[in-house]
Amino acid sequence: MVEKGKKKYQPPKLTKWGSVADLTKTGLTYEGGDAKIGSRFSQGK
Amino acid sequence: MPKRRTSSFFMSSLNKFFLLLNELTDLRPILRISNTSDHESAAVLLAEAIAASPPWNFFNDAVLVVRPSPFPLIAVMGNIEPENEQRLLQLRWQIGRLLPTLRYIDFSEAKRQCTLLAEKLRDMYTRDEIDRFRFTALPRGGMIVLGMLSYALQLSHAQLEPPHSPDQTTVVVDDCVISGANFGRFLQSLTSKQVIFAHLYSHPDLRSAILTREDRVVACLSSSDLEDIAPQLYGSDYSSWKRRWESRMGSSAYWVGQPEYIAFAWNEPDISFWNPAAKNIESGWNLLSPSLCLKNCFASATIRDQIQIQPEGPGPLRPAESVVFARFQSGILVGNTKSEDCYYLQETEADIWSRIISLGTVDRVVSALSAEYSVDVEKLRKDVSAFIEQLQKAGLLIQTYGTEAESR
Repeated sequence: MVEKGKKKYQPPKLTKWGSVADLTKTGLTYEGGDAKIGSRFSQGK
Repeated sequence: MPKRRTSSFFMSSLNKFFLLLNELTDLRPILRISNTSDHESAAVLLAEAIAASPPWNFFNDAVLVVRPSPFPLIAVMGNIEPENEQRLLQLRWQIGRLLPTLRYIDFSEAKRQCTLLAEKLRDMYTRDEIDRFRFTALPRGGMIVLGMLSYALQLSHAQLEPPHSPDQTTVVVDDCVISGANFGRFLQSLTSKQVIFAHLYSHPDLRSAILTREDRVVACLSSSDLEDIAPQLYGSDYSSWKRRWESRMGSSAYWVGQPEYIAFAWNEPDISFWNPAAKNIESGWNLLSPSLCLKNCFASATIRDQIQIQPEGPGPLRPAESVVFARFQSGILVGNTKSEDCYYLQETEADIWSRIISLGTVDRVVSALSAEYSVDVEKLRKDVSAFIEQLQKAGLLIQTYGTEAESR
């Protein structure tokens, strides 16, 4: 029975949802980077 | 909306939390060019640049978080598809590799460079010749430079107003030239028989290549030189990087290199990158906040709304140093960068977490929640205490000062 004006209570539970990818770690820091500064490529065609 | 505790929502391959910036990230380039003296504000400026960037529009199911203290962190939390994962890797590369090379040209330095460019033109041509030239600019940054140059050279209105006769030499003005692709395209639209290309920054090899390839270009000059940092940036991959981009740019580029990250108070350079998951070349990220760059200023009116600044709370119960959290959909995502685990708190759990952060003690949390929930106070106290214990064991929560009794 829920008291008037109050929310239904459910006991809290800690459940894992996903993972952290720490891009600041050595080895991951500079992955990617197949890049070029300059005129936007799509315009440069 | 996520369903509560269904296997399809929990631990799918999309559920990711990406840490982009930590205490080791060098924010000095942003501190140097802004009126900011603290790293926290610099992190917020960088987050504003990220939120104003074209790639951020792809992140429909993720949030951008700045945790200001005890040391600044920036994270992206949410459901992140492989294409977006690659975009974040690119962003991290830009922060780690390009940001340290940032060369910022404010209006005062731009004025100095325009004066230098004007002097070079006066050295090369007589006053009569300059008076006969017609001037135009590459959109959009070039127009700002031409405005300043027109005062430095005391140009007349007629020299700046089209149409220009093909027999009149046209001076094309720009701020910074890297590959020259925009100039090449612009040149095709010009009918002038003789063209002078005058700009603030370029690499000497780019200028030589333009002069070699374009018969109509009689002079190509810049107020200052750019250096090519591609060999040090790409190391052993440099040769293959250069070949790849020469092939991608085709004949549109006069020169393929990577100068330092030169940015102006009105614009920062376009950057293209190869997204292997999308199998496409895409636009890269901005590194300058709208307050430092006119172009980014108009990119989005709602940038501030897209960034969550993590609250600190009064303590003694506080999130651990390695924790970043954010409101996400109907709940709260809490990630531990040390254990690399991420949790999604909903309903009661989310309310308990929020009250712990804002109130700091078990007593205050229980008192606040008992007014909201239909539950026996002693049961609530027992559940809250047990949940806090779980949060502490998972490394998400710490007691920052006082005794355990004081945290009650």
